[in-house]
Amino acid sequence: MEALKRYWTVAAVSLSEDFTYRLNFLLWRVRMIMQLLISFFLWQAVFDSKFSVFQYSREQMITYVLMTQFIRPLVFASRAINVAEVISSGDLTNIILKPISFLKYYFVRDIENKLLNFSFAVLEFSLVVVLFKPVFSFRVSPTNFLLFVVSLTLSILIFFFLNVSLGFLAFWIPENAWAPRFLFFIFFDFFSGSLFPLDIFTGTVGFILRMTPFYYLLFFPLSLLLGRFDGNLLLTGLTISVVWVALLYKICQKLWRSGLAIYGAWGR
Amino acid sequence: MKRYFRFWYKVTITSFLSSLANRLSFTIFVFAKSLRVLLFYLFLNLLLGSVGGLASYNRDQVVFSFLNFYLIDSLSQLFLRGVYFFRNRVVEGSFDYVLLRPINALFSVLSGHTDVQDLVVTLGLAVAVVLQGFSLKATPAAVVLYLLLLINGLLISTSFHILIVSFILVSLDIDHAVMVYRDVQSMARFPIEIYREPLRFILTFVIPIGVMIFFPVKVLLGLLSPYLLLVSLLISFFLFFLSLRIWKFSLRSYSSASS
Repeated sequence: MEALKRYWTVAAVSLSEDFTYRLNFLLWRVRMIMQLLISFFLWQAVFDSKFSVFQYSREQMITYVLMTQFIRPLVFASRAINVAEVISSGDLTNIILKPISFLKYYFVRDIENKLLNFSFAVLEFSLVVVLFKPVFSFRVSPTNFLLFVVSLTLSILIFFFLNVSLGFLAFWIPENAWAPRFLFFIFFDFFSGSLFPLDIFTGTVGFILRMTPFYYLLFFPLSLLLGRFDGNLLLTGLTISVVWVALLYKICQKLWRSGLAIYGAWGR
Repeated sequence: MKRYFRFWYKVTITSFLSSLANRLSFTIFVFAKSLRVLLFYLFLNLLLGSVGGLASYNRDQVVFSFLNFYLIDSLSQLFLRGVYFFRNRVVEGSFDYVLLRPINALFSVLSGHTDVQDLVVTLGLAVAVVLQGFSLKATPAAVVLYLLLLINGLLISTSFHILIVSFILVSLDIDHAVMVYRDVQSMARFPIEIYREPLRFILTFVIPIGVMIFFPVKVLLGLLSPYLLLVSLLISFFLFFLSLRIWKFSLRSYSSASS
């Protein structure tokens, strides 16, 4: 109970930090709206001359891209993005002296940030629906919704451990930690399915993508919600997601322990 | 003028040496930036292979427009990278030293960090634009007008960067103002005609990223009227002078409190 109260305080402080820089946060949301508009209009233009592209109808594709932007903050909104900076600057010392777990501390901050961003995404999504009146293609059953929630939880964990592990590289390369993160974010952008559905890739490319963690960040949960996967594909996908969570958790812990052993608090 | 060129040259050489000193970071960044363009290019080809074109533009024209977007984006980053470091300089107080130098502070801020990573990417993009441009079979006059509007686009981009540094001087609350601009600009990655009115009008004439990025493509394709050509030049000059006025106004309100 005491621990719960402690992390609740962490979330509350994190929220008040977000509201301290209100304009900063609002402009961040403006950026998200731009991305939503680009995806929406691009696919509208694509379907002006075709009824079906990559085996998606206009309604299915618009539903897919808008829903991706809708759930995006739940997966990608993060406070753990500054882990590398915290290590490089030596500010990590302030955190590890507190009676809290570093991973839990950042996970709670991440969840707070995700919920805050998501609440704004709901408003933005509603605005787009009212202004542009897109036609959706929904077939959500209670089972699909339940599977979506499970898969989304796994995707949040995959992103968190991957994100923090990238930050931990700062223990070894404090001045270069931003470079591998930048590279990974390009992979997130393309291979998580935020721009287009990943099942347009078939054969070897499709198989390789299914083996990466990126596939399970947006595309897989959303495909479950939209009822595009069932049977074997569903089970295999969920199993691979669980394996990635376990693997990345192990990597994350290993990096944390080894990193802490050589941490010199240079910046302080 | 000579003094400014020498200043820029020295700053550029220093930035290059500084970037190259960190080879691992340099290699990853160049690879990642090139990969981003390449992946988008592959996606676009996959898409255009299926639909043939976008918003009345054929495959070659859309690809050229896409490469042109990245060329202008990359050129802006190459020469105006200093803007990305400006907020930190104001927060730390080192901007005060810039003000004390016998050189224009705005020039110093904008050109204070030429990015060698972007030089590599820009060169690759310039070659890609030229190669793709051949497929459009443009007339020599259209090519000359394209180059004129490309410079015009860079002037608009410079104006936006001046507005961003002015905004930073007035409010330090925003730590990603330049990224907001980059996101707005990325709306012109595809032909501006994909957007519905009034958004298309806003993106063309109010926040003139359409003029900045897409008008050079239109003039090369012979789709821009002389009237709009003139309007685009007027817009860029107006925006440039407006941004200079706003910079001067912001500079007057700068209190140097951080240092």
